[in-house]
Amino acid sequence: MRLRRAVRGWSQLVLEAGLLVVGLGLLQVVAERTNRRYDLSPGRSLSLSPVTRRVLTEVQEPLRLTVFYRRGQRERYAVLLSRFADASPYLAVELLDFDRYPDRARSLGVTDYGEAAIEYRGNRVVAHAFPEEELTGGILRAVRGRRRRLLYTTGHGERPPAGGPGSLGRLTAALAAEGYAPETVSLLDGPLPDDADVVVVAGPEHDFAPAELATLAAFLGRGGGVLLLLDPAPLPQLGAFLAGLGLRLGDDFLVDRERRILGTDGLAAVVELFKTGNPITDPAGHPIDTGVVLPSARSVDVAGAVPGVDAESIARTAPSGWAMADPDRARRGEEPDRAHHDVPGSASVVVMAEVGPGGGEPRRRGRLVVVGDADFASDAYLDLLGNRDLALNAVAWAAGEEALVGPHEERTPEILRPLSPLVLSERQARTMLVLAAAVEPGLVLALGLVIAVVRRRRG
Amino acid sequence: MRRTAALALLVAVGGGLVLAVHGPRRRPLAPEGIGLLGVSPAAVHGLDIVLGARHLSAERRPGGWAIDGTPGSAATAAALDDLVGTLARLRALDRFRGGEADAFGFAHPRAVVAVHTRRRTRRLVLGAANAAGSALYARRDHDPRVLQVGIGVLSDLERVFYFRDRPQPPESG
Repeated sequence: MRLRRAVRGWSQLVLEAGLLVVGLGLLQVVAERTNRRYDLSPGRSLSLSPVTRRVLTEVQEPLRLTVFYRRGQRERYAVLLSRFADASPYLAVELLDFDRYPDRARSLGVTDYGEAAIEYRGNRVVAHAFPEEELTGGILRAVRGRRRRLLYTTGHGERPPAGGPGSLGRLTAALAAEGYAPETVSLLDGPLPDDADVVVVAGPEHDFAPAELATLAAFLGRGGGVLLLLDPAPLPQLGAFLAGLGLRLGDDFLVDRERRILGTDGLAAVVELFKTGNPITDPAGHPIDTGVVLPSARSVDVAGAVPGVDAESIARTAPSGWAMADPDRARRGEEPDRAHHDVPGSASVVVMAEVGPGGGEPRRRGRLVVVGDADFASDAYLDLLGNRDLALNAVAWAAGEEALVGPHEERTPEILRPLSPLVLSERQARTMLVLAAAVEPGLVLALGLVIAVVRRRRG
Repeated sequence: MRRTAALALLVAVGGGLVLAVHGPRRRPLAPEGIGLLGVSPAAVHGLDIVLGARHLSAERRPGGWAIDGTPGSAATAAALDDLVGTLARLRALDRFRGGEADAFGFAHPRAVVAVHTRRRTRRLVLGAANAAGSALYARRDHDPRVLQVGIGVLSDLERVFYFRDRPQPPESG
């Protein structure tokens, strides 16, 4: 009787242990089949950016990704590729040591370490496999089958596409990674190429000739995209051109003494008021919630309705800002004053517009984005707050490349920058000063006094 | 009680296994690498070298090196000693089973070196450089694997031919 009970007890134990093991095994199988990744890191640095995810949703057929790494660097690519593979069921990923498979690399057109051959629907594109935006751009090129042409205008003192902190080198590199082919163009050379997608006018110091503006207008009329980045400078012809589209380009200089960026001259305008529901500042429900910094901004706004033009202001400075009528006074650091015709209050700084007949037209409408500043997109400021997102989103929308509109991969600002990304109001800065210079030492002093008094009383 | 003891035993066995069983260890290749020829410099008594279109046959004799049957200069002998030292120390940075010989330059090798000892001869074929230009693909006789060796061995080979081919200075006196 006792033996039977013991046998039954042990059998039950074995059964329970077996069930436990089988149960855990099944859970593991379910976990493997329904792989989910939860990124709890600040800034979601371990996840793919929304832009990459959107690009991957456009992959609807098998896409083969062959990455050739240098020995010792496999892990760097493996981690990124696993995120890509998790995000799309159509991706087949292969990682190969370049030195072990040189013939395979050559046959795929890969010539250097760290490059990826992307094959999709008979297209083959070679792109850098790192960082994420380079690989995303390569995939988009393979999906689209071509690069988008991006033209920078020259001849008016515009910022160059590369070279030096005042240039647009970082922006150009980011756009090239996303599949744009940047080049320069003079508007005096006649009509812009039919296959051009976007024209960027980056910080002209001299005005445009009427013929140049006619070229730009014709390009817009053909459904092209134009991005105007306009620093405070006298540009009457360009202002008149914009006025014809119902936009007002202010001859002013925006300053915000209350919301200044720590360590700057206080001329920069911090923009935190964005219109929602538009693809540039609030793409797919991912608003630029960090704000943007416009180091030397002028106002640009919608002046009135013009037939065939749908324009809206999408970003404004804070109500604490001023529009100073004389840019020279602003640059000299003088305080804004109503007596000098300076206007207090919020001012519009970014306008987007669709130009041309709408509704059922087979050809898309021209797209125009005007930003009252060019500095924000320069190398010195691009990675501050949401500047990169604003610049890339504006180009993507103007080019009609909706897949690339959204928050991009975050870049850590380098140390050698003129600005610190800490934004404080005057009141916050004063509070910090009082806390650090008075309250904290005062508390320590008071504590010391209490201890001294107590000890003296105890004898 | 017995059930608890059995579960505790299970946990103890599991813990013991975790402590006892280690994951696969990867043998590090760099920087030491894998010895290629397995000879000591003193054991080498002859070399046959083909470098591009140039050939050289060297034999170690009691009085020094004989190059293609004739005594070599002191500089050539020193270069050969250095080459022998390099070959004896030569190590592979990587080794793997490769595909086509053409892909690694073995169909038209840069150099072929035969190292003779009293017992046997070892042959090393040096193919193309890798993409970084930092290593050469190499292959040994009777070894199907492809190796990568530092590109410095080419300098030692070139040096031997340089001293053999340069005009001899006239003897003084």
